[in-house]
Amino acid sequence: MLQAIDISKEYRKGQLTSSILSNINLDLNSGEYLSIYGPSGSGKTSLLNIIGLLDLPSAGEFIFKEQKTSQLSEKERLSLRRKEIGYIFSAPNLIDELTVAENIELPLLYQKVKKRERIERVSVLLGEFNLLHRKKFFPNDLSGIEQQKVAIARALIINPSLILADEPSRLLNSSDGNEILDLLSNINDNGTSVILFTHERRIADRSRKTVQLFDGHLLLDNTK
Amino acid sequence: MEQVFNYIKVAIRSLFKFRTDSVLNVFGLSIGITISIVVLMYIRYELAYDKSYSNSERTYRAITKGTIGDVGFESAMTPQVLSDFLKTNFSEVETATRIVRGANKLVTYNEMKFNEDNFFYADSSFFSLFDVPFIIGDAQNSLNNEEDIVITRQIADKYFGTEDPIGKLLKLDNGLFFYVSGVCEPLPSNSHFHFDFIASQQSIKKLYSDKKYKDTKHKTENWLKVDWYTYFALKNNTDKLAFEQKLQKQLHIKVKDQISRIVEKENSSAMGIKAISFHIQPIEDIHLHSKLDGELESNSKYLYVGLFLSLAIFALLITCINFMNLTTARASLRIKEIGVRKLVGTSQKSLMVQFVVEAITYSFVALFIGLVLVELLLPFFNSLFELNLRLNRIEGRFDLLYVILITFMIGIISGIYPALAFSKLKEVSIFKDGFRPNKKGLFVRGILAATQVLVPTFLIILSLAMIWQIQFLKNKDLGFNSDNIIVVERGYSIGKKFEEFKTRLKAIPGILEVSACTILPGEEASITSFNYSGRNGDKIAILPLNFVEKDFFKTINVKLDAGSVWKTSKSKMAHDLVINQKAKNFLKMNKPLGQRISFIGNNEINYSIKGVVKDFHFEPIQFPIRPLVLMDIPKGSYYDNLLIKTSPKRNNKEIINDVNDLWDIFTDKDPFEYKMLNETLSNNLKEESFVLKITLVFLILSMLVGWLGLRAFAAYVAEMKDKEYISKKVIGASPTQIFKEFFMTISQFVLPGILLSIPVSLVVITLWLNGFAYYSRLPLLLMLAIAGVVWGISFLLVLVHSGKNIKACPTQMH
Repeated sequence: MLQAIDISKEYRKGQLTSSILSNINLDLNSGEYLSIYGPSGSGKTSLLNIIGLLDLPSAGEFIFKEQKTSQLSEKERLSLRRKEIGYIFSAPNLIDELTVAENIELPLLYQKVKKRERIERVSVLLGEFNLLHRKKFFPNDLSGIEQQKVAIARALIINPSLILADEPSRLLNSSDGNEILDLLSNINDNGTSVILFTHERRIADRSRKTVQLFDGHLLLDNTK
Repeated sequence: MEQVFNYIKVAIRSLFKFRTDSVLNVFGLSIGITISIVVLMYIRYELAYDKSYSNSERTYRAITKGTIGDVGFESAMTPQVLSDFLKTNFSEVETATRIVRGANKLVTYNEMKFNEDNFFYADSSFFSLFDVPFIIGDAQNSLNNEEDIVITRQIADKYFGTEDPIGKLLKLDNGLFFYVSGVCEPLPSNSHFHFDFIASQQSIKKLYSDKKYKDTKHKTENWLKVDWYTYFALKNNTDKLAFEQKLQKQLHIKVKDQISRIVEKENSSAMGIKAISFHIQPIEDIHLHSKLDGELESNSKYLYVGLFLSLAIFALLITCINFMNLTTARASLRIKEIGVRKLVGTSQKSLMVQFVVEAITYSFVALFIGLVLVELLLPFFNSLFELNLRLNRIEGRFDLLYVILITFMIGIISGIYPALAFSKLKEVSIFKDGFRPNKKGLFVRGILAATQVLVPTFLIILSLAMIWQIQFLKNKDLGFNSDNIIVVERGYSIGKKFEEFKTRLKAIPGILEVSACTILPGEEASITSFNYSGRNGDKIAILPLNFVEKDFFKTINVKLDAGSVWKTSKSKMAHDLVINQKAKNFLKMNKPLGQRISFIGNNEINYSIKGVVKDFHFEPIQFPIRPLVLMDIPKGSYYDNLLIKTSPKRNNKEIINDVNDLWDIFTDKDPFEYKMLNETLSNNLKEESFVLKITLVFLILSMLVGWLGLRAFAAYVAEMKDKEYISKKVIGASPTQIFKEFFMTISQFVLPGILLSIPVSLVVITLWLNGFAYYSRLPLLLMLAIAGVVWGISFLLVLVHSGKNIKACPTQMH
């Protein structure tokens, strides 16, 4: 499904060049669940940006669904991630002015999906996440875990083939955090590939495949 | 104190660090300061009119109000006798003077001849009221003799150069002559009139005694002839109102007596005068508050001063608000500094002081730029508005104090909000979340942005509406043809030889018609009272009157409606006259031809109506067409203006040269002055053009301010919605979609502002157009189109300023 070949990422700041990622090789097949863990500063975020098609590597090639991303235009990358990738962050990043249902619906709006279909898809997800009774609430009226569930629902509304989760439980207490991680496992069980970024070994261990990042290098490739 | 210097240092460093924003911020402030300095200078100039004489605050002008027939009039002039009457009968009057503008403009010194406009006759008290400094001679005694004349420094230079002007002989073309008895400084430019020559009024008696006016005594005691300007100073502590009442009471008797005498004598209704009363107005009020018939120069309106003042305050406030907007909108740039300062223990109070000091520092930088701008723009501003403003250096201390105070105020006003907003932040939240402008501010800032866009939109519509109306008036069919008509001024120089001159002129190739008139088409006509026989016996009518030569109609191509024009009679003036259709209707004459009309006070000569012309705009185009009487000039008088219609086939310059040659032969080389009739007509739109110019200047400034406002608002919205837009981008919104949302958020506020400008403009335009008899309003559709264009421009501006940020990659979100 996706393949990273010798990816490097450098940032230039004035005269200084700092290397964030070096020679990363990574493979993910459809339906796999991969955890990438490492301390802060290890390059997780940069890798997420590249895998999430938000950024391009400085060297190497990143192939997503058999397409070399370096050869895609910004527009093509946008439309690719629009359809294929759902993002979950530690902060839910919901839009305060929109209701729960509207927040979930938002990605479809940008894809110009017809209204009837949008409503249908939103209510299916609301049901699945047990949020139907909160449908018309605004994000500020929800608990932390509910907000995060809405964020996950928003990621899933486009039926992505890949979910990128960046420390999705960081801001939650451990029981709520576990619930969110269980949700992710469920999503993976339904056939969607998941890549989880975390700095906790404990969380990374929930997945079948784990890699460790340290100072921009991939240290370990471990399949259980 | 050291702390304050530290703040100033940081302020100046951040001015250089955040270049574009800080520079724009300071630039915006300096525009506001420039506008207000110039406007305050202008207001000071206007308010200082006629305040430079030593007794200005107790100097008054007497004016006359009354009714002739059914028409009321208010004149800036009074009977000639009034000033002497005031001096002798009122102990409250310290001194009084009277002046009249000399009608003859040709002044000769040896071989030199010049036409002079600002020639006045005055009595010897003139310089005790208008006490301008004398360079040569003394103010008290320089008008004592019949042949005395006082000239200004400029005139002395013009006529005599380095020679001593005292005792030099100046001749007028009406036969009077004077010996220069003094040289003085001119009146200040902000005076309600200006003179170049002040001649002794006693000389005028000669004009009458030389001729057939034997009855001079009667003439001078005429209380019904309103033709002199009377000024007087009241003694200290005189009650103005009581004095005015006393004056009215005494003069009421005088006037009543005279009216009854005339009614007895002439068996008519005393020249139609039903009532006359005299009033006084402070000389300091004339420029801004007086709009009477026969003002010496055209005055301004207090409204303009108020308008300017409110615009200045408005401009300042708006720039202050912009400053707040920009400062707080870009707060995240400063947030680290604030956080650190807080962590090391700065109190909330001293943080506030920091931001206020910073704003004050900026406003002083802005003040500096503003002063430079004022210095640069002032000559331009002066020539545009025909003013004489200057940055006052001699009495400058006061001004500077004001300016510095205002700058402090600006600094405090614009710094206080950012200071409050920043100092309230908790250090914990600063480091955790950074600072984001909150949503509460959005509404208020949105309304401000809306106003800042409303004003320029309104001004664009207003100025286009003015241009529209001015063009409408310029293109309006006047009812006569003003093209290719040369007007030769001072036509009376030709005198009795007019017919011969005319014949010779017509022989010049390219000259089609030659005629003459007293009042030019497009100039305000004077009115005269007539007697005529109506259905219910004799009646009085007040009608505008112009003396014209018989070919006048052919020359400017006025069409006859009925009858014909008079023929020249060899011996005397024609006893026929022509009226226009308005007059025919006004006099309710169904069959006007052959009807009789006579001047009031001179019933012996009857005139009969020979023809009726179609209505034409004989007065400034702003006025409605009034009834009009046109007749031949009485023998012994001569026309002021010669009209020469030329053919477009021959170059006007050449024709004018030929005319000039002929003129020199006929007049012994009197100054030859000419203009094109079309120039006079377009001069009539001077006030409109002036107002348009003011509007355009403010339009440009308000556009700058509006641009800065829009930029600040866009920056604010972008900063506030930054996180939201990033999330949206991550979930798949394209940059275009985000920008659309962004612009819509801005438009929510800006668009209503733009649209609101239409009704506002409609009201103001309607008010303005009310002053015109004929008008054409800018079509509503065009206003809407302008609103659309402004919206489009704001789109582009937002795109330029914020497009890049909006398009930026969404990678910095986690």
